[in-house]
Amino acid sequence: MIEWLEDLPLYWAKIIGTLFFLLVIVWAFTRPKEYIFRGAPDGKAWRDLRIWAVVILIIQVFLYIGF
Amino acid sequence: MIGGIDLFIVVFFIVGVFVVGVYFKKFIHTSEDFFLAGRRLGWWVIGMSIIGTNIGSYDYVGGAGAAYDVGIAQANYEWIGAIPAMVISALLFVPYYWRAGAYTVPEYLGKRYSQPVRVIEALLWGTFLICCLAIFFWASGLMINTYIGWPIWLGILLTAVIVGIYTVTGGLTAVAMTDVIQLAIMLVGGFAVAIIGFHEVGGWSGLVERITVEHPDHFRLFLPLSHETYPWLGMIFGLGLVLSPAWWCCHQAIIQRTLGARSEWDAKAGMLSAAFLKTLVPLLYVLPGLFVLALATEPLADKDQALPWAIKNLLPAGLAGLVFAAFLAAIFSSVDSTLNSAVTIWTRDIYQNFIVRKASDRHYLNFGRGLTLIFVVVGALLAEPLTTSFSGIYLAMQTLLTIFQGPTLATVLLGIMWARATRWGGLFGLVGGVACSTILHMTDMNFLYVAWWSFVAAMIINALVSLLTKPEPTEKLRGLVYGLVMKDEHIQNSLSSRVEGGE
Amino acid sequence: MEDTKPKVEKGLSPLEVMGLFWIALGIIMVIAVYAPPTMIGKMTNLIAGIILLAIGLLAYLKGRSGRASRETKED
Repeated sequence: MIEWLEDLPLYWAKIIGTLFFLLVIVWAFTRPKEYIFRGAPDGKAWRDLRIWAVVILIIQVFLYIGF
Repeated sequence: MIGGIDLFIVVFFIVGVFVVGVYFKKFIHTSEDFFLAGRRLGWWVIGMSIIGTNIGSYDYVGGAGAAYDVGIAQANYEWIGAIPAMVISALLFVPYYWRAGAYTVPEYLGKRYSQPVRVIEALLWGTFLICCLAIFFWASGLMINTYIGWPIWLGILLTAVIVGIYTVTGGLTAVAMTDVIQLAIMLVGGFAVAIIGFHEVGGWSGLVERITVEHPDHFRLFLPLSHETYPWLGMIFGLGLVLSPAWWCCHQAIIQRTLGARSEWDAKAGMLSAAFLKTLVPLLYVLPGLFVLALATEPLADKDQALPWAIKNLLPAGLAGLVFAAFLAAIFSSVDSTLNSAVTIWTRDIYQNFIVRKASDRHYLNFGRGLTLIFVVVGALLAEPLTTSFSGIYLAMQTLLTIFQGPTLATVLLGIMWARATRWGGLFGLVGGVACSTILHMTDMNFLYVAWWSFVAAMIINALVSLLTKPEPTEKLRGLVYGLVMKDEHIQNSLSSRVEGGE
Repeated sequence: MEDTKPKVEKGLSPLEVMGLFWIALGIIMVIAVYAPPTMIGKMTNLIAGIILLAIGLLAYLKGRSGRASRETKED
């Protein structure tokens, strides 16, 4: 099933893994603002969950690039 | 075995958690208070409770052993195998469950598809959670036996009495609040172990130098495809794309905390804050596993002895007690959450749905409490026979999960994302996916690939059957499908008022 | 940020209860400094104790101020 893939160098794992994270970052960042803030008591910048998501995922990108 | 100040710390922890848990009884007046903490949980309580629930004793013992054996690749289970899924869960799945006003994931599926889908999901998750409960009880008895020397049955009894009483009295409020306390202890304990471990090995560079001479792959997150248990492709596709979203988007014990959120924003922020905490979790068991590898002069006969070795040889008196309290915290927080979620599913999706439909709220509250007691007894009695019939605790969990996680994810995903998915598509997709994973499980296929292919099978069957059957009326799908809600402000407002009105 | 919606409940708030638990455990960890023979052992116990004390105090004070403001609103 995946024999042909076994010849791929290991850095392809990093590339695919990083692309996976980047894809989720882009998806999270493009959520509409009103959808993200729905139910929030105010519209302060720190309540923007898109920023939370991006920060959390960028930490992951660095970890996966580093290791 | 521990004694002296360590034993004092452990006893203080056990008594303290019991007292605190029972204190929250005063917040329980209705069945909604009991099952969903009265929908009053703030985001940080939800986040900490989710992680407290998620970390079990098998993470500590099995995870440290695996880190000793394969290195930081074990952290994939916490990072790529959790965090993207948690972000997706927070921003896609959680808002729909919350807006639907559901108590359980099967309840959402019942609204979206049909009663048969709800019942199948409820029976699968309800049975799985009871099995988990038995396994957690056994793990608790085993751990108390190993470190304190009490008989296994006494450890199980102690766990059952303490966790059982505060879960019966305080419901989800007690469960979530004690989870918060317990997670803080786990993190402080993990942080202290990191300090002493790095001191012993000479910092990060010392750790790397000591290990990479003989184990050059121990600091790689991705391992080659030829690796028996951690092939990188399986990690990304099986774990990252299927098993992990299935866990973080569909697991009742995880999702239930977000359903108890005081607002939709708190529900989403709770899951995201849990994702942030998840980044730190490898501190708790991957690092200790590596410290043992770097410091032990002789290789360990059994890799699962890595953590006991660390406690015996690395930790000073006092800290050893705190770390053991953190183990117990991991078990208690898993037991209480699993117990509460199993009771919620059996009460809402089976008892209230089929057996006694229109009783008073007090009736369901009392039933939930009674069922909690029954499940404590059943879990404790099943602990030994269930775990000894499998070759290992972790394998038992994995086997049960693999069979229905992929199909569940496919059913929920299509239900939320695709308005054309019909009741028949959902039913056949779910049943077909479970059948597929059961068949594949009998072959030699790695469980990560079983998860992937059963997910794909369920998606295809659901889509094909849906296209061949009559579409669901738009009125039924209002608020339950992504596209419809995103386009319609009126639906969003009516759903918010529905939830606020307690429907 | 309070942990629950304002609701009429007498006695300690959840945050205060959690705070007291952490404070007590922190005090025990600080006392446990006497137990290990090595300096690094003593220091680790001390650090763990101080962190628990700090978290506990923070939670307790936050919970108390939240409860006070809710009681003022009710009055």
